[in-house]
Amino acid sequence: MTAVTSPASHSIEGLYLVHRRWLTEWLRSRLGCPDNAADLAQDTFMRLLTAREVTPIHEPIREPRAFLTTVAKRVLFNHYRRQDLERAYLEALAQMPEPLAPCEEHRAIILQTLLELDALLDGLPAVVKRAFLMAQVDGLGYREIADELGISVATVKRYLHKAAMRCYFAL
Amino acid sequence: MNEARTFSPQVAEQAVQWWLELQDGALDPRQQQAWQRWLHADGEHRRAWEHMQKVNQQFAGLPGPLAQATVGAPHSPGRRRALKALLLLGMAGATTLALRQQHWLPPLVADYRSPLGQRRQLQLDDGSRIHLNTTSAVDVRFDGSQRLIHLLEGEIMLTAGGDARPLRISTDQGLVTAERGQVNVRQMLNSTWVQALHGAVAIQPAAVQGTPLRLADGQQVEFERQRVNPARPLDANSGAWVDGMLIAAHMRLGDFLAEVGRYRRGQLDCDASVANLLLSGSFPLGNTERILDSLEAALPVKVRRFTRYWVTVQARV
Repeated sequence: MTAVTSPASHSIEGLYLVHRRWLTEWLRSRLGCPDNAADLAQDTFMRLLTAREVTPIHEPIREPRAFLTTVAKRVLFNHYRRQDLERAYLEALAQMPEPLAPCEEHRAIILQTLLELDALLDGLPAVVKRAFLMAQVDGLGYREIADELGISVATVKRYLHKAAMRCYFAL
Repeated sequence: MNEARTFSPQVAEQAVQWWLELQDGALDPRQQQAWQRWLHADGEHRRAWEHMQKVNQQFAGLPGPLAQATVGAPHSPGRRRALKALLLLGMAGATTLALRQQHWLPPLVADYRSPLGQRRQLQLDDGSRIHLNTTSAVDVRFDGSQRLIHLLEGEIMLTAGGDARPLRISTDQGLVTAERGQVNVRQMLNSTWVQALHGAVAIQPAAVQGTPLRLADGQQVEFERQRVNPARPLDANSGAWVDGMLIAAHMRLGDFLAEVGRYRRGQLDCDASVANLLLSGSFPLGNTERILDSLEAALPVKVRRFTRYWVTVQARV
């Protein structure tokens, strides 16, 4: 298979036209599911189009397929992560006492919101996320969070600072 | 959250410092003044602060235990397994097979499907045309003796093409036969709603023997497996969705929101105290946020957004 270096590979649209089918096949062989593969291939190109780290491409990408698989791996990673969160969500729902569990209609909305929150807090240690959720979702004060997690108030502040910089400003 | 990166790290740092102060409880008057001074010192300060509020609003109302059990939980063995499998990508064979078993999802089996909030148009080979409304799905089965369309979910408008074979739409509740002309069929929770937009149609509920019921041109009816409700004339909204419109003529707010909710993700409802307010107007379905915004101008209501996906309309106090 020769690398494609037509003028088309100057742009994401060009990459899409030339390599979409191949990428879908690549993803399908990883996932074993054609529907998901097509969706994830789409996600991969969307990611390229919206990614701010990708500056406009001035010269043809030398190894377009290696480039695409690198991005696709990240998309796959998020896909697994989403499945994992969904599983944890269903387990948590199953364990909730009946009167506290949200009704059917709200479950999907809550899941969607949780996925967004999870993406915002991506990469933070679990304990930092827990502290942040206690403050923002449960509305607990520093002292209460410190007691709950068995850490000092100063550490709680440090964790919340770290979490807020990530969550609000992606820093 | 693309907006997140538009602030300088210095402003972000200051905003987070003030947020930490406010988390700690009420500010004393001196701090309060200092905070207000910071807020108004620079447009970027205020925008950063508003941005934080906006993100917070999205997560207000999340049940704490669920957030902790999912977002706050350490990576599960499943996640770790999946990530490890990901590292092995490129090694064919056993790895691929394991992933396949772990992550296989059933495909959506319908022949034609339209996504949420979108319409689709199909041209069939007999010259018939089908419009699919939001989240709708059909299977098309044509053979020598009949043309059969299974409505699996949602709503379609069918414009019949000329052909000797009968053209039928099957739903959970029975069969709708269109000779020619145009018919709108919607699968409701426990019934089928048929509108004869152009030309007559025949209706055969699944559990009723005998001659099918004839629905005259310009009439609409709802039927269940055992019975057919009385027919009534079409209204202004009949078939308007094909043009991307929702036309309300003295429509109950509760019904109106249920209709708008079909075109957007998440939960959309209203308090019982405002559900019976009546609303009239034409609303473009392409932008449901705009429709919601316009409600506040039309009725004495307030639209409350708990999260992007959870909107409730309440009485304005």
